[in-house]
Amino acid sequence: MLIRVAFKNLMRNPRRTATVLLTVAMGSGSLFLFHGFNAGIMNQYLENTVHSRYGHGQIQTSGYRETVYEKPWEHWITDWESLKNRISKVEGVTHLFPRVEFFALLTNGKITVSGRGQGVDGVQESQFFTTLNVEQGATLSDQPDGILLGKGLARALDVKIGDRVTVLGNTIYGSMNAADLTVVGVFHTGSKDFDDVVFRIPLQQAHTLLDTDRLESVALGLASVGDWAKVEAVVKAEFPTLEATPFAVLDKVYYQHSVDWLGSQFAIIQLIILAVVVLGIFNTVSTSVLERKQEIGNLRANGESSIQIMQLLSWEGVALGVLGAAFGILLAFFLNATLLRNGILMPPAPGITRQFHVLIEFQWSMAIGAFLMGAFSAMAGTVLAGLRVAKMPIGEALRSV
Amino acid sequence: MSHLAIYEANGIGFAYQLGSQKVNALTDVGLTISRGEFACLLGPSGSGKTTLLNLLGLIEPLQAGDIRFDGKSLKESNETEKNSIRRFSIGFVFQSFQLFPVLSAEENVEYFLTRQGVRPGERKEKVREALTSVGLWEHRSKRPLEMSGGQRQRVAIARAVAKSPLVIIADEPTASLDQTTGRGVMELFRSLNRDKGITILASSHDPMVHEFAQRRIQLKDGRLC
Repeated sequence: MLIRVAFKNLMRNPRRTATVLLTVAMGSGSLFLFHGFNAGIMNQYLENTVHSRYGHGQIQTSGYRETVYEKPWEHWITDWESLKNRISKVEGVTHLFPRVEFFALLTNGKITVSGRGQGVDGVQESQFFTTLNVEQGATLSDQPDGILLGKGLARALDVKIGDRVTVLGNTIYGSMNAADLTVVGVFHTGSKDFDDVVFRIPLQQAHTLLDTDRLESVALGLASVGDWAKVEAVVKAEFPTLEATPFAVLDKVYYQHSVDWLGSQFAIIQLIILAVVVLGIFNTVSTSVLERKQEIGNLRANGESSIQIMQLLSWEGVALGVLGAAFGILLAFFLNATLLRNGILMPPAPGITRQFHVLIEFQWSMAIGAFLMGAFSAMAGTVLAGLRVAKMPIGEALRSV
Repeated sequence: MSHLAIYEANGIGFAYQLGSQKVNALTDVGLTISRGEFACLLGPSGSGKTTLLNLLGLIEPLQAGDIRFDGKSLKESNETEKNSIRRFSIGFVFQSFQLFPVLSAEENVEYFLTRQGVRPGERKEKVREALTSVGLWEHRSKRPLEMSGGQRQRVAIARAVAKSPLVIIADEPTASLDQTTGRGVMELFRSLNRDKGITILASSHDPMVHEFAQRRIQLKDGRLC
């Protein structure tokens, strides 16, 4: 009966009820869209990080990442074949990218600049690192003497596709070595710091230049981020001298900090949306409750306690919240399927130099979360509005006009 | 203390706080109302009729003196006990009806029975009986706004009666009604008093109402005359 009365009370003033429902709908719909947008941004960050530089993670010798060695190659991976055979069988592993990194000088005969070289398996990497945008020429694949330059580096050397570049470096034994290579492409990842110094050459060329067949790291491409735990477990159990590090840790400054920063920002905006919804509902419901002071006085005169009055009002709040939040979620789904179906074009994010489209990514947990928050806000607004009248002395409530 | 008394009031006083001023509404009132009485409070506006009814109906808090309801001191009762008395033992009929506009006549009567914990079958029977006793069973599906003033007041009486209270407190029950309708309402009170033994406590300026009462209690300036 209490619930039936609560629902019927909503029909007293249909316009006012519609206003509250719209407020709740806008609030929960906004929260839902906002969560979806947030997830879209986070996903873009993740995709950008994974597919531009790190893969889903890397395997290196234990402690290598945190330690500065005088002769780092002494700590590189030696038994690549057995590692490859085992890790490639782990469920979810789709790609393995053996790599070495080294510092070298690059010269075109007139200009010499320093850079950070990556010896990579061009064929493999070209399939996976898709956000490595090649804006001139082609990506490094099976060209044995090719070199792919970062955009800033290419500009500094003032070279174009087909030009020759000499890479000067030290072998691991300390003697000078050089490789004459041909520019096959110019890339940009979106990260200026990266694009200004990094160049890529075939792994074989790097091994020759460094005079070693060791690997500094092995990056991995996985079917999904969730597969990383399996890789980590296998490395820990079967390769005690190695360690597996996920991309979020490898790129803590760029990826993890951005995610944490955006997460905090989103939490504050979410609080603001909730506060606006609660205040909006409080304002409208207050008017409605104050108009019913006599009626509430009558209920109290007939034995209802303040708590029972609050129960009645709470049911009204629940009804408003449930209906409004459900409407808001449906509205968000509709908007996403129509106006926002192509995503939202965003300006370059922190650390990125290119624009990107954010698709609103909905998950059921977000829908449930937004629904509960909308419903809870409506109930909180109603309860806050009802509290004063429910506690009013009966006589005063009955005398009120 | 007589076990026949439903109310025993001693030395009750009440003052309203109007801004910084205290206005005395009742001073040192003592009276006894017996079970089954039909009493009417008389007096000009401001004499304290409504205040006294509100105190007897547990609507206003006691400020001075004590009232024993059915032998129990209200001064010593906590809020839960008072709520229980309001819920089970007292029925109210207000001048402005105080019906729930969103509920039908039937639902209005049923509401407080639900809150009393009366089972659905018994509840339906009590609603039917109450609405039949006020002649409105045929109009049970109507909402208050679809009814005349007299019909609304009769729904309010049915609602009070259905609770099977010991007392019905009626504050100016005919003030919003024409003479003929008002007389009908008062006849209804008389039959409830006579047939069901419900104590009726009413207040009114209307001499017609006074005619129905077995006992008239005169108030003037907050004191019994």
